[in-house]
Amino acid sequence: MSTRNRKYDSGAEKRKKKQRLETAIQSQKGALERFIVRETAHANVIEADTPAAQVLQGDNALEFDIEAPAAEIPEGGHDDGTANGGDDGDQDHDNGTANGGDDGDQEHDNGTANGGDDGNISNHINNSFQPDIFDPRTWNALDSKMIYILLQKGPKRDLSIKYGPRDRFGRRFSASSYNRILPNRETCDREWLVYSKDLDKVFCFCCKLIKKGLVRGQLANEGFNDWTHLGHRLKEHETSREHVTNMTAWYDLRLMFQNDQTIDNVAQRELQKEREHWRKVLQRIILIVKYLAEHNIAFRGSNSRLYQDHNGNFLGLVQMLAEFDPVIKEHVDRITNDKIRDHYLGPSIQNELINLLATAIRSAIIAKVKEAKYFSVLLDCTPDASHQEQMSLIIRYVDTTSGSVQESFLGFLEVSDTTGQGLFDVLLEELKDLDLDVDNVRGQGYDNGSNMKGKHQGVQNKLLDINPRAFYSACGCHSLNLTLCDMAKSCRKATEFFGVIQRIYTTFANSTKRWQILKDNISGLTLKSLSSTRWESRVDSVKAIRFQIPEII
Amino acid sequence: VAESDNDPLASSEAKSLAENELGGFEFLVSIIIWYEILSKINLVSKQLQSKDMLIDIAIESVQGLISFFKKYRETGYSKALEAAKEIALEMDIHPEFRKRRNIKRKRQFDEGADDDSSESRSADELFRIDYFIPIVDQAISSLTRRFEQYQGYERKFGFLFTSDRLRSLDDTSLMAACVNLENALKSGEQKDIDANELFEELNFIRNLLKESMGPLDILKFLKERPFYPNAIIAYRILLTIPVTVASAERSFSKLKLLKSYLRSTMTQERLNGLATIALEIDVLEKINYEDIIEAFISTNTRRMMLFHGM
Repeated sequence: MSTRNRKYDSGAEKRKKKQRLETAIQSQKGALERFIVRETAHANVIEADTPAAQVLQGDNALEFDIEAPAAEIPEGGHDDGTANGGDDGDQDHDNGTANGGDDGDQEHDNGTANGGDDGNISNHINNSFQPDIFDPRTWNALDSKMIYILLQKGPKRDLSIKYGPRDRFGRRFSASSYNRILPNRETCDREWLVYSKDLDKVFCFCCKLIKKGLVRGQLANEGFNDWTHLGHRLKEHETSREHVTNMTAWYDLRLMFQNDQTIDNVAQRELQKEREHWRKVLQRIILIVKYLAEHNIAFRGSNSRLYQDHNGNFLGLVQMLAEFDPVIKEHVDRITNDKIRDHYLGPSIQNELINLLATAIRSAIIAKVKEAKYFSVLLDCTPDASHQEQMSLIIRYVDTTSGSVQESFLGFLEVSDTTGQGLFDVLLEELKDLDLDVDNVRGQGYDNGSNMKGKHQGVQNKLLDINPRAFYSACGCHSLNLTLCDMAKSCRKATEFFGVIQRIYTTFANSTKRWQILKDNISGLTLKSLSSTRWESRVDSVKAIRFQIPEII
Repeated sequence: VAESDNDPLASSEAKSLAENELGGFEFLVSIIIWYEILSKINLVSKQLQSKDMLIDIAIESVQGLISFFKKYRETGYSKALEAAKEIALEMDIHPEFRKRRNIKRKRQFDEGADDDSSESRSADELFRIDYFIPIVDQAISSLTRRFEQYQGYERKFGFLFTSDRLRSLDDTSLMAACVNLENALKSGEQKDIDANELFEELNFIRNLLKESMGPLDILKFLKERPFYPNAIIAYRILLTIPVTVASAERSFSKLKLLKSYLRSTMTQERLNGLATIALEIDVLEKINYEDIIEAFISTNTRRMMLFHGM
C-alpha cells in the first residue's frame, strides 16, 4: 500500500506539472471553449433536511437498489480501491468515450501513468483532454481566481461513466449515486457529487472548494472511495450543516454570474457597469448645470475643491447630491481618494455642458423656425454690467405643430458699433451663422431708437433694402411709453406735478427715520420712486399717493 | 409730518411740501387725473407685453385707448373734480383752486372793455384749459402719430383679422384687399401669395368660419384643412409680425441677473449659453439627455475610452 502511495503520489505530481504546462498552452490556443461544462439538465434542488431512505437511480433508467452493489462488494479498505480486475470491463466503454483526445494528450497521459495498472491507462486517456480545473486532483492547487471560475461553471460530470472500476471487494462506483431519491420516490440530482476517474474517488464539489478551515470528512478532502458505505455517507453529508452552507454559497455565486458564461463576459460586464456609472454621473452633472442655469445662480465660488469653503453652488450641489445619491457619492468618493483624474466638475466642463445644452436648444428652435419658414426678428440693445453693449436677438415665428406664436431667444450679440450700419452687419452675420434666410424675414421689431428705426440709416431701412417684405413695426410698449412722456412734457404744470411726487418720495426715503414715520401712518402701499424711462411704472407711485393722501399729510 | 425731524432743511421742505403742494386742491385734481390716465395706459401696456401678442389685438387696444382719451376729454374733468372735492373735504382743504389775484392795470384810454374775458373765467375753468385739455390732446395726437404704422398694417391685413370682418366684406372689396396684400408681399419677382387664389380660398373659408374667431383660431382651423395654402401663408405672415420687443426686454432682465456685478467677467459664450437655458427652459425639457451625453462624449477621444470602454 505504501509503495503504491509513493508511486501514485509522484505520478500525481508529475501529472500536475504537465497539466499546468498544458493549461498554459491550451489557454494560448484560446481553447478554453473546450472545457465548457456539460451541465446536467436536472433540477438542482438539494433538500438537505430530507432524511434517509434513498434509492439511487441510474441516469439511463438503470435502477439499482443501493443495497445491491453494496452486497456485491465485500467490505474492504477504501485506500486501495484503485482499479483492479474489473477495470477491463470498463476499458472498452472508456475508450469509446475518449472523444477527441489528441495525440499530445495521450502521450502526456501515458507518461504520467506510471506504475499504475493497465486498466488505469485508459481512464487517463479518457480524462486526458481535460487536464484542467475540473479535475478534482488539481483543486488543492488552484488559486482563488480559478476557484472562482470553477464555482461559476460548476462541476463537470462525465455521464458516459456508468460504473467505476471494482475495488478488491468487488464494489464499484455507480452513476446512480448521482441521483438522490426522495421519500416520495422523486429523484433529485446531486449536483455536487464529483467522481474522479483517475482517483476512483468521489468528492463533494462545493465542500472541497469552499471549505473554510479544517473540514472533516473525506468527501471534502482527499476523496471518498468506500463504495460499501457510499450511500449512507452521502446521505449523511448532504444533510450536514457545512455542506448546506457551502451549497448556499456556491449557488449564490452562480446566480451572480448566471448571465455571464465566459470569462470575457465578466470583464465585459464590469466595463459595462463602469460605462453606466459614468453616464449616470454625467447625467446628474447635466441636471445640476441645467438647474443652476435655469435659476440664474452663479456656478463657481472662489475655491474649486470639493468639501471646502466657498466652493460655489455647483460643487455645493454635488456635495448635497452625494448625501443622497449613490452614483454621485461613488463619484465623489473616487475623487476624494484620488482614484480618478477625470472628475468632470471643472469650469471648462461646465462651460462645455452649458454650451452643449444651449446648442441643443438653439438647434431645436432653428428647426422649428425653418419649419415655419417665415419669421421676424426682434432686436434690442442694452449695456451690461461689464459695460459692453449687448444686443439680444429674438425670433418670432408661428409654431407649426402647436399653431401658436412663439418668441424665442437666440442669444446676445456683442456689438461695439451701435450705429445702424454696425447693428445691421452684426444681425446679418448672426442670421447667416444660424443658417436662417434673410429673405424669409417678414417682420422686424425694434425699440424706437433712431439707430434702429431711422428712416435712412436705421437697421429697419437697411433690412428693407435687401428684403422689402420685412415689415417694420415699432415696439407698441415703447410707443405707449413715449406717448406718456409727451403728455407729461406737454405743459409746465404736469412736469411740476411729477416733480412734487418725486419730492415726496425723496423726503421720506432719504432717512430711515422718516420712512418709519411714513410706515407708522400708512398701511398698504408705500411710496415709490419714479423711473425716468418706464413711464407706466409711474402708475404705482401715483397710485400710492392717490389713495393715501390723507395719511401721508 | 416731518416736524419731528432734526434737520432744518428737511423739516422746512416737508412743511412746504405739505402746505403748498399736497395741501393744494390743484394737486388733488391732477393726481386723480393722472391716476386715471396712467392706470389705463398701464393696462394696455401690460397687455401688449404678453408673449403671444397679436397685431390685431394690439391695434384694437390702441384704438380703444384713443377713444378712451377722446371720451375722457369731454367728461373726465368734471368727474375728477368731484372725486377731488371728496378727498378735499376729508382732508379739510378748501375745495377751490387758488385764485390768482387779478392784476389791476391802468387801462389805457384806447383799450376796449372786451379783454375782461380772461378774468371772467373761473379758476377751475382755467385749470381745465391750461392743464387737462393739453394733456389729453397731447395723448391723442401722440398716440395716433406713434401708432400710425398700425394703420398701415390694418390696411394691408385688416380684412384677415377676424372672421366677422372677413364675412362683412363684399366680393369686390375682398378682392381689392387680396390684391393689396399681394402687392405688399411682393419683392421683385417673388411673391408669397397669389391674390386670385387667396380670394377664392377666402371666399370659401369665410362661410365656414364661426363667429368672432381671431387669426390664431383661423389658422388652427385652416391647419386641419390643408387645402388653402395661400390663406395659411397669409395668416402665418400676419401672425409673425411683431408687436413689441418685450421679449428682448425680458432677456435683458435675465442678462442683468446673469452678468451681475460679481459675475462681470463671464465670456460671451458662457453668457449666451446660460441665458439660452434660462429663457428657453421649455425647449430644453423636451430634449433627450442621452443625445447631450453622446455629444459630450464624442468631442474627445479620452471620453470615448471612458464611456465606451475601449
